[in-house]
Amino acid sequence: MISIQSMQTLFMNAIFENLEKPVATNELGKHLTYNERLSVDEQISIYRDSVFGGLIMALQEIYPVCHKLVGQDFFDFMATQYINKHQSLSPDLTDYGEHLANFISHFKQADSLLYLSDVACLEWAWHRAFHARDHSGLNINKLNFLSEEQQENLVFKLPPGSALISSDYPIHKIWNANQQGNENDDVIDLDEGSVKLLVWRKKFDMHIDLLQEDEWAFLNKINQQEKFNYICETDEQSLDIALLLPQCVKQGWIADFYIFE
Amino acid sequence: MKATQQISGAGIGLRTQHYQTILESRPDVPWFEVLTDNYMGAGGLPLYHLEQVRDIYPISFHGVGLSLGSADPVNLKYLTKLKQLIERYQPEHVSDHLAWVSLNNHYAHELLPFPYTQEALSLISEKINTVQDYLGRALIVENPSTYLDFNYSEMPEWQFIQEIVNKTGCDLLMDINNIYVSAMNHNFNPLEYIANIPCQHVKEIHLAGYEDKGTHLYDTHGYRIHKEVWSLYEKALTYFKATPTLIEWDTDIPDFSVLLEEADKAQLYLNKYEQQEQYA
Ligand SMILES: [Fe+2]
Repeated sequence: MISIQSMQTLFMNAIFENLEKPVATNELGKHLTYNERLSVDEQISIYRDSVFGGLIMALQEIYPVCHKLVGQDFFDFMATQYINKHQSLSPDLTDYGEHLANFISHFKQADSLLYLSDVACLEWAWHRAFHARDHSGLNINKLNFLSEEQQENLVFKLPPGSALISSDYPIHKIWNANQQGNENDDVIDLDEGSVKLLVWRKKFDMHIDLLQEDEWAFLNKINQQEKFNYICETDEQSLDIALLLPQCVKQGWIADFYIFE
Repeated sequence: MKATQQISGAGIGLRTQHYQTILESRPDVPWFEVLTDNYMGAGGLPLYHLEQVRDIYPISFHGVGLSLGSADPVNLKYLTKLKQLIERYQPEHVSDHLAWVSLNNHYAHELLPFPYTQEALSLISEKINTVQDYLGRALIVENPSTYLDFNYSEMPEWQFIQEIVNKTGCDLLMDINNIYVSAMNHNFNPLEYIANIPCQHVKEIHLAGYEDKGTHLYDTHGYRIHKEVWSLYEKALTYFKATPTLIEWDTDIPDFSVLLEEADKAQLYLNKYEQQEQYA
């Protein structure tokens, strides 16, 4: 008889261990009841398969475009390697899979799909914005009531859960072409140049917006939560802020503000 | 938002694929069961849809994240979030499983088995009590499907459940499919199991479709309910009475109409039981 803690440690190790050296599986097997139809390995495998199956399915739901681009077999293979490397540390399954883009960028077997990692990055951003806190957008009138001192400490904010993403490939087009109903034979030119994107949600509508260089630079400053005054002073030369601010507000890209204290 | 009310009759598990059908056609379903763990996000469409469904139907909450059987203490962040969701959506039932899904905060997100020992009994009772104290309500605990047994278990599952109820006063969700699957996998008599469950604590029943893998039955939740499970359900009602019953379907989710058919069938069994009771 072993303690609950030891049994569960063995069980977790048995599920995630390298099956060429099934140390934990063998040890756990000693504590299981004999079953004439299933060996202890097979009994444990039922659980191992459902754990991996569930996590692969979770990744597939977060990364449907990557899944479509590489096909089921390769996705299963890649996801299995990812699961072996990255544990799920939250009871909320929608928190799982954050590191897939980075994982793919080091995954040799996906070397030839240069844009795959960036597509994964886009899909994670989409997923996070989808589940992010709701917001009602910027109430521009509230700005009129700020004192001079408050205006000096004004910090703008992007929509909750939004992400700024850049890529050497037209990943927004790849993403779009792989949405249900959008399938066509249009060829996407991978060499058409880099893109800069903002992924965000307005009410319940998801947006992947293509940004100009100056919008990208400006929104990055905002995203770093620098005081608006400071941005105006330091970037006066390079950015036409008098133009950019109303433009970004109109698009909904600036969703809120606060006064830095 | 609807006031809290007792649920009754044959409900259906709410799945994303069916939001639209449900909200547009408002089918005659007495209640829906919500997978709590899918609504842990901060905002967005899932919570909005849940709100809309809740405006029309009574709901119950069903989760796996409490990891009741784990040697870990209850995850307080999860428990806090669960309480917030309960306050916002006012479910009639809140349930989780007699299983563990995590250890050292590493989540497998699958219902894993544990031995039915005194150690497990005091660990799980303590955790159920913590949860019930924090939520200020009885937790409903579901029996699992299992594919292996520990050779050092000290009692059968039904006795473990009796003891848990004695120690915590928690309520029970009896999954008839799970009883059948485990009974076939471990060669016990499902009726003996049912006869030993403290029936006054049974507040909900689950029905689902297993898959016959040849060497074992697997709790796929991806099929219509098998006739053996319907027949066990009919017998179980004589113990548990006309308990609210849920149709569970999690993989290869079919058209909503299929779930409605299964729920209608369960409702017929419930009606039949009540008629027999009247004549008796
Ligand atoms: Fe169930």
